[in-house]
Amino acid sequence: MDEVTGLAYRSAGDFSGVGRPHEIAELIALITEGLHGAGAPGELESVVVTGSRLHEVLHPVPSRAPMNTAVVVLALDRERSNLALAVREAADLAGSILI
Amino acid sequence: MSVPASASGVAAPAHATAPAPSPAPRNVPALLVKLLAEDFTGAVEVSGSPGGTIHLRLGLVIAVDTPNAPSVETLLIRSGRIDEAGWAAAVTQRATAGEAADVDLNAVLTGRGLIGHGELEAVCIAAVYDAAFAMALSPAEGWTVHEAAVPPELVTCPGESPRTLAEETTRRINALTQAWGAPLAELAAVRCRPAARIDPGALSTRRQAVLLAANGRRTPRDIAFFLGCGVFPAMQDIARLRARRLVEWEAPRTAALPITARVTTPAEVQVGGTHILPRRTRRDRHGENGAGSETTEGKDSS
Repeated sequence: MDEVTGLAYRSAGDFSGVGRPHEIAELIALITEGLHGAGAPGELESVVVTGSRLHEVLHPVPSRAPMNTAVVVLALDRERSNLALAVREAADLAGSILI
Repeated sequence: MSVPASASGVAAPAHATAPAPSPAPRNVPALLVKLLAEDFTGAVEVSGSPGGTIHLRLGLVIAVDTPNAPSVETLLIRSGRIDEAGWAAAVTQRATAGEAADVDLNAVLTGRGLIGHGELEAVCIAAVYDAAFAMALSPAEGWTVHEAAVPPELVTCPGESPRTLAEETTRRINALTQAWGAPLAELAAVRCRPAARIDPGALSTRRQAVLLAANGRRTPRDIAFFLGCGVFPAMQDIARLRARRLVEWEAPRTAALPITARVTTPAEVQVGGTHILPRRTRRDRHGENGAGSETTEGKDSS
């Protein structure tokens, strides 16, 4: 999905628990502005939300165009996933998804 | 064959031999839904200010062209994804290849390693939604349906559903109107500039770029073209920067002529909150027919 507009480009699997894309974009903007406002420089690398049923991993996709950032959103069944591995694989996926 | 119509839904058949028309669509989204049901392939030219062209393949929207939003080419080059030399070389190669079925600009760009399949697809999809949003900022005056229209070289495949496109456009307009707190025409016309010295560490790279582009002469559309991003994201950034009081602008100029004469009139003079009516004064003018004449300043309403 697009990090700024919240436009979902493509999806696969059961994404009913992910939430609406523009709300995810709002969440990312809120976190980014909050971090910068608190004096934390730099760009957001990832966001991990853990829930009782689902984990959600948000990972910005590296691009040559800083004005147009895509984000990979993964929703993981908590009972069937390893969060540490999922975060790592999300980074790998983000690095290859636009190629 | 072209079939013009008006935005009010009053059909204006182009040919007397046209088949009996079904109920005319009320607006462009309704027209697109109708064309989706017909698996229509062609283009819908929307007139307005500035209007645009919606390209369809089997009823799905594959591209939208409008002067109000950057094209895919602009998005690719101005954003820095593809340099101009690489783009020119790709266009030349595409032209040299002629009409070969398996050689389109999409394949050339990815084949030369200028951009990945996924990124090009994402840019094409984003361009469709952004152009639809930009067109929706001004009302459509009418439309003409072209069955034999040539689509642009770079399109999204298989295309976007007209219903999804209309819903997303409505959502964007509502969200931005709520964030801005006023009609979007005002936001679309605003020419803002940075309000004060900005601490770069307090802003993301994107916001820094928008602030640098906002020089007091560019509208959000101009900023989008300059930076190679969408019009909606640019307007969204301006709205958010305003909420943080990081941008400012002058009020739009009115059509009234500049005031160069004295503004205060005797009728505006107030003493103790009450109006004093202008007093008629006598002025003696010597040498005019040998008699004095009266001049009046202000207007006596008594």
